[in-house]
Amino acid sequence: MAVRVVTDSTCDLPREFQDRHGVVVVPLRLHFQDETFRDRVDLTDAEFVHRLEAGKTPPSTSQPPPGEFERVYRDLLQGGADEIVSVHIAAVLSGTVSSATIAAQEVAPGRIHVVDSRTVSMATGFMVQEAVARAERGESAAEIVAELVTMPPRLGIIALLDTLRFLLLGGRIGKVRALLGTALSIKPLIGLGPDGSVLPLGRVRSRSAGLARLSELLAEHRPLDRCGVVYVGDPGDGERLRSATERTYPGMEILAAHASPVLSTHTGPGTAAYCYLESRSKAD
Amino acid sequence: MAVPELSASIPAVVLGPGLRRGLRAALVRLVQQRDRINDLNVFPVPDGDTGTNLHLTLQAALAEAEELGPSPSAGAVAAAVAHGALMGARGNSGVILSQILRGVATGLKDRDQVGPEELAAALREGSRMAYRAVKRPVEGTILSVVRDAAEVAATAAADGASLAEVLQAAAAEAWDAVERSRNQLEVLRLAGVVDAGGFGAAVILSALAEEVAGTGITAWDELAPLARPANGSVAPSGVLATSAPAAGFGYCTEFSLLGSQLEPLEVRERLGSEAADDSALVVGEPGLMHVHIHTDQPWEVLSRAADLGRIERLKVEDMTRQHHEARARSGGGGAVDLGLRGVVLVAPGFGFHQLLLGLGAAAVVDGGQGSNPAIEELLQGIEEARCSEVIILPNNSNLVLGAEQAARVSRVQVAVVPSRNLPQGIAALLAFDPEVGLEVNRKRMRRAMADVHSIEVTTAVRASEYPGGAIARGDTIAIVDGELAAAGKGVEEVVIAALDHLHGDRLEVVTIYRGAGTDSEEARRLEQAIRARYPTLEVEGHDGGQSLYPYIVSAE
Repeated sequence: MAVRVVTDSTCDLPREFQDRHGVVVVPLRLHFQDETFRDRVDLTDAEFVHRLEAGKTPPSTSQPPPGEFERVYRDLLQGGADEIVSVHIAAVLSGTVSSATIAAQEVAPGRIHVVDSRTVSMATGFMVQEAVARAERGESAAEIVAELVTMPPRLGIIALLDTLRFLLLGGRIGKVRALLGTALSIKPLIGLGPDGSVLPLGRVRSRSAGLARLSELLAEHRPLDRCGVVYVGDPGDGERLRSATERTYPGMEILAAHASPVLSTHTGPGTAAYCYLESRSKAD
Repeated sequence: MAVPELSASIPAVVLGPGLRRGLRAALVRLVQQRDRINDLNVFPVPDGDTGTNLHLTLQAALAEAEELGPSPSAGAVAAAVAHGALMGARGNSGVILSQILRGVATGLKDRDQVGPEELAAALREGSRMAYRAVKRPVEGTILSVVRDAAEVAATAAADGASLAEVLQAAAAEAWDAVERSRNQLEVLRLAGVVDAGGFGAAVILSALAEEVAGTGITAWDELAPLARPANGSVAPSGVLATSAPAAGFGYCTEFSLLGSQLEPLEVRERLGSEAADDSALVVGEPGLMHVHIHTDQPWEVLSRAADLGRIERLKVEDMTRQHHEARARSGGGGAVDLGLRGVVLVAPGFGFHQLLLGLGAAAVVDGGQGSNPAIEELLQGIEEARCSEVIILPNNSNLVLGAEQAARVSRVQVAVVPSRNLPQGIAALLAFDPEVGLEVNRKRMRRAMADVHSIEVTTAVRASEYPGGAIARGDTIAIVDGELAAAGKGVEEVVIAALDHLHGDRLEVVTIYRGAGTDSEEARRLEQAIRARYPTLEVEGHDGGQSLYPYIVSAE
């Protein structure tokens, strides 16, 4: 029983992991004015951050077209896959799940399982990792999906943003509007709620205070099964977060990755975040 | 909708090239209506790109049909269009359009030409396919618009109508369905607009009808009312957010706009209807303007402003919340909200008061160096907060004991976090979380306070000495974290010496609060001098309005 895993460009897993395990990554779309790019295919992270900082208008983003999922699914099935597990960015944040579902219905409804991760970034990536590990152990798609759907309540993201401006411009401000209303410039701390909506977690004035607070917030969630760091722009803060965490969780593999351009568009340059998976014991 | 008289030249069926011409016409009409459709977009996410998404999706669809050569069959055109849309679908509305086109292609499969019945059947299949693609279909969207149009088309075709009549009936019904959407979706009703995606579908159907009937439909100009609120008062070029409260006060949005070469009046026009309001201000000159607008949609205004220039000193205040807070405060004594936690601060000056309330302080008690409030006044502040649990930030070391005294006699639970100056108080206030208990808050606030340095700038009242040398009466002096750390003749020199003392290269943010009577030009020069000395520091200036200290500076 060969099960292949598909995800999208927002999952923030290292490329090397994707290559080694044959994870197929379908790119979302980025639109700068009238130019369209495939996320992380036509535009490198560095080029993207440069455009984001230099440009007057942040780009808009959209889900991959259903046709692209159809092509990927067909190729995999023709290439010998028996089943496909397709894990994607929260449906409340993007139409990606809807594009994938349309394609799955068209290609082979019984053999393609589309999973709404209800989260984003490396937290989605943790689900992809779980799916890959189980697929490699020979589990069926149904068994894998049964495990994956238990994960979202234990997954979390906490992030330090440099400014609320990008969230505001993207129209996805949600409850974070509680952090508005200040004449002083502040750096917001935000998290993703269980349904994928953005929640306020606090505000600080300096990056170092914000990074310290992020580590404190993370410590409130231990014990953890997995933890990772994502950042936008300068990797320095990502490294600071990672080394702080390596001391707290000795022995845990802590991935660090540049956040996908799609995510970066909504959080802006200077974002640094933890993604984590709580241990099952705590959730039970 | 006016139905034009049919002339004898109207074809009974349409062939592949005719179908393609119809879609070209639809693309042209969509481009014309694109901005209007974008402005209507409030559902499901108010990101104002439905028109763009529909346009680019149809463009990708048509591009494939253009590859087909001069005389393709109708079925081949439909199949190419469906494939192009599928590969080029952009955004939610684009994906739904791609599914409609896919259904239409299925309906027209292997057809050389399209007659009234084939058309009606194909529209039905398009509607069915689109419904299948959406998990929870909602009435009052492109889905119900296309479904209703398809049903009317089927009825007309069954009654023996011609192809043109079927298309026109479908288009007319689509516009009626668009008008109905205004009352079908709560967000649309609140915003007083019709559904953007449905509007786009009606545009496409109308363009097809006009092409096939060979006559322009006369009513394009009549579309305008559909884009206006039902009450016809103000045409919003922006729209309300999905979560906008019915009786919201909106956001007070202020920023500086740099680098735009336009005149303020032009900028005002381009910022949208909110900027046309009497309370809106766009002042300054090309290159540097200041904008102050009340809007329910700061993001709309900001994204338009971002197209014009660089945004700086952005400040967005939620006036609804301020209103609630003000009402809660003005209520005076009486009931306390059980379970509500708040922070009460002592601060001098109107500027600081506004700033602290904006940051979420439950109450601010007037006072500061030289005018410490009495315990009675602290108790009054605690009462004003109307919280059952209160944290007091005295912001002055001489007031800590008084605050503790007030805490003991207050009828609500009060904890004191002993902030010694305003920079500490602001840092502590930012760390406050109303969701957690006083003890956890007290710990977090004390820790946040420890990372902030305070520089209080004032004038020496008598000659003295300090480790750095002699001080003459009238010299400017800087008290850093309670200790005299720098002195000199000029403000800039002294503040920079104080920052040097704090190892300015290790700092990140410096905030300057200018006192009552301090010239704002002088304050700006001080900001510039600090930036010149420490280029990586973030420096911002505010009006504190305190007396005695021309400047209070926080450094963190």
